[in-house]
Amino acid sequence: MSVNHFWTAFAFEPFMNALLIGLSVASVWLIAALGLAIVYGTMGVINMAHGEFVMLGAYSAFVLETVVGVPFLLCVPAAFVIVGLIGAAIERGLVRHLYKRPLDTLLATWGLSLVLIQGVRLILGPEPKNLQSPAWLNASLRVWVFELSWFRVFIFGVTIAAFVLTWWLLHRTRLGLMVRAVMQNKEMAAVHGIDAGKVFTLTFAYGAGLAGLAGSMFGAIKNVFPDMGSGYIVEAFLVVVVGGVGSLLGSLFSSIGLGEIYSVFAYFTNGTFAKFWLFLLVVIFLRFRPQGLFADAMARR
Amino acid sequence: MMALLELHQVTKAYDELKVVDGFDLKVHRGELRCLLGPNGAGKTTTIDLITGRQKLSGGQVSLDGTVISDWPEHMRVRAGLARKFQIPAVFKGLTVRQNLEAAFTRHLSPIRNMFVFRDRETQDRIDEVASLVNLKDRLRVRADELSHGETQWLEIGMVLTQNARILLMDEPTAGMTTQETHKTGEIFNGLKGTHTLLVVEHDMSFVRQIADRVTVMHMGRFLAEGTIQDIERNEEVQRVYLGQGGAGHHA
Amino acid sequence: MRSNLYHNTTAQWIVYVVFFALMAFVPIVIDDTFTTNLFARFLVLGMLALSVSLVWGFGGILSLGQGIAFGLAAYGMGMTMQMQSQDPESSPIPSFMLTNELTKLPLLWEPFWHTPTGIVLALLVPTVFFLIFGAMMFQARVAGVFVAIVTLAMLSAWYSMAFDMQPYTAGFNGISPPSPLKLGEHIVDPYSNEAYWIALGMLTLATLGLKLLLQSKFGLIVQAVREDPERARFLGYSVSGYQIAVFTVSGFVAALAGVLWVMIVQYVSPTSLEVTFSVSMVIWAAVGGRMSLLGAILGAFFVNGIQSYLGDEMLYGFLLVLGGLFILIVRFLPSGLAGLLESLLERLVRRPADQRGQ
Repeated sequence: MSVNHFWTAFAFEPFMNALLIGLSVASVWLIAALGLAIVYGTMGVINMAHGEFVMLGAYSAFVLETVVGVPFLLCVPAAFVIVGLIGAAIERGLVRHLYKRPLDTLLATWGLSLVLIQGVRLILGPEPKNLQSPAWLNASLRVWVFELSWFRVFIFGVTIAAFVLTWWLLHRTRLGLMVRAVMQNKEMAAVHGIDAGKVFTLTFAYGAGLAGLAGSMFGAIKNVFPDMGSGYIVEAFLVVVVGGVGSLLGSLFSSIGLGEIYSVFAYFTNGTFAKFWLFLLVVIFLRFRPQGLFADAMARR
Repeated sequence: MMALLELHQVTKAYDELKVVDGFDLKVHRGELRCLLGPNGAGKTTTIDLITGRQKLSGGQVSLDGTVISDWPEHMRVRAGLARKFQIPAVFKGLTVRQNLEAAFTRHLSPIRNMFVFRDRETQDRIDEVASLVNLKDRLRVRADELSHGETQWLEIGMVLTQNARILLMDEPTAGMTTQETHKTGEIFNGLKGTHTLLVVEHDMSFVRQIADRVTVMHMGRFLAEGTIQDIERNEEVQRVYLGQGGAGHHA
Repeated sequence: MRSNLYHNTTAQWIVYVVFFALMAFVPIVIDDTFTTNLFARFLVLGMLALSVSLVWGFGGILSLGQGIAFGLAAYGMGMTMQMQSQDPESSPIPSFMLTNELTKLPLLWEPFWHTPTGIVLALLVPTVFFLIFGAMMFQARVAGVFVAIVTLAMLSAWYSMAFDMQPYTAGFNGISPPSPLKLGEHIVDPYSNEAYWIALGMLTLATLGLKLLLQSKFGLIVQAVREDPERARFLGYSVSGYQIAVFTVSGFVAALAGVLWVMIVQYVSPTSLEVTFSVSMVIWAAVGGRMSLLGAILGAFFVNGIQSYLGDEMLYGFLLVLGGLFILIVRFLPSGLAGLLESLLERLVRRPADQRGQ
């Protein structure tokens, strides 16, 4: 990069496409953040290993596809189930014992992420793996001035579906009612016969599953490698924090806002520079609105 | 003589519901005043209004003639209000000595305090307060190892160390054994004359032990004031308390 | 009642002073320049753990952004040392800038012609940054895990900046000044005993300075704020004031480490701003004991010692073990090795009392 051609001038068609890419980025960040948002909102647990759940999702899809021969489109839901189960085991074995110490959960899950990255690296090797997706997904779609690959559209669709499903589970089912009850008051929920431990395990597993789902798709856009998760974790956290803890709708709006800001900045300058200003803006934003966009009544701080 | 703490027509309302309704109170320097009343009479709310934890809907609070009711909480603390909370709030990970030392607020600025070290004056003050609240032998113990009664005493001690002009005590004997309550009574009696206290209490035997003057609240309003004997003979007070099942130990 | 020796302030000071005095003999004993340099590096990493211990252990502020101060200072020092090898006449700008199409030294680099100014800036800029950043966070009452996330985001922002501003920072490659630090006519050889002693001297000053600070009223209130900010506010203290102050001091200590690091390794790259590195500092402090300054330093020695003993081939295996160890420490030994010592000494005190039938 050179200083001389640092700035890109405005041009209609590429700029409109930058806006579209913003939405696409938003969908990636949202699907990466959704599980994190639910786990933090319900349990008050900051899961630093969330990015590694994304990575595990990508590897599960890879192993299923190359070793077992499962078609890619089936690998996506399978990654959800596999990583969900891993998540349940981790909740039972580790996270459960640290509920009263939020800072310690953060650190313990970071230790866990280290173990997962290195474990995968030792077992499956450090070199990037290639996850194949059907040819039609790699074709481009062109509408008016907009141009986007079908794969991006696919991620978009899956993210919306996952969001709607999560909202439905949380607000329209008995399980969701239990989760929200535990979210508001654990003791009261226990009095009404809700087993908070079970609710937590399910929630954590569901959050991990969503990360796995995301990973199976991310792995196909880029590559599959042991520390791929760290590329999503900071953005995912910011989506949750800016959106307002415990608010699904907040996560939706903040992912769109952050994705667009990032993409527009990236259009005029470049990706890394855009990230710097995005992160800086978020810190300044939190200075004036520490509770996030949607301050939820049940926010924990 | 001007009152040290004066509440004038103090009111707190949530929509239609008046939790405190035109309440007047004068506490003089060196006095130990008990604020009594059945559950829901508005006692804790009154303390909240004095310290600024809740905002007034009407009326005013003054300290030594200065109206403080529109000041923020920490300004009121600096002006000389000290409060002991209903649920004891101490620094659990610190020792008893450190708790008392933290409450000894001669300087508040972080930069200034970088150059302040434990000196004789602090030491003496801590020792003095510690013996006053029966914690002289417990100075090295971490606060989370104290019994419930001791924790209450520690917070009373912290409030004393603050060298405040008026001490507001919200149910200082809550959760104490009879013995501990009696000991607390002795502590309070030792403070009379040198300190000004406003004590909210349920426990009648404790009030009998310590009170000079008692003010009774009911439904957010002033009901009666006088010596403990006056109050116990007062028919209106008896009626209010009988409706509540007697002036027993509620905590 | 007998008291635990661990809590005896005099005993603590004796241990600290004896420790640093003994450390001074290390280069005389080992007599191998490579190992001396390695130990000097450990001293600097110990200083980072020290800053984490202050801000997290005592201040209760889990900062994952200590690397910001370290990295900024390291770049400042790298720029200073790089400019020592440039000449206004013959070679006015570093060669990596030439390959990045720069023809003139950027304004940002100009002050670093002058070595004292460069070193002062390397220390001052990160410290002022921590002051402003801390004020932004703590005045907004950002607390707990939110601090961790916000500092993490800020760190990532700086990382991408160092990485991306290639003409100014040499990007991924980093800056490697061709010759060691010159102070006036004197050259500080990174492999000499002298470099080791400078690092040790600074670490000693920083540690004893912080120890003193923690014994002041300031140190007490910082801990009180950690325990219960509401209560501290109700005693009349400005909670954010104390948090900003302790955060800034920790930033200064990390910046000092950054300056020393480049003096010893003669190299700076974006890895100094990597998330993994900043979290590692937290691990060192946690292993040694975040509530003990010396414990945190020893934690850094211990973890890094094992890491370099095992060497690079074993690195992945090592990180696996480190992650596992960290989980175990957080789960079962939250006060680290120092906490273990504390409870052992506590037993020594308690036992006679038990025998008396209490």
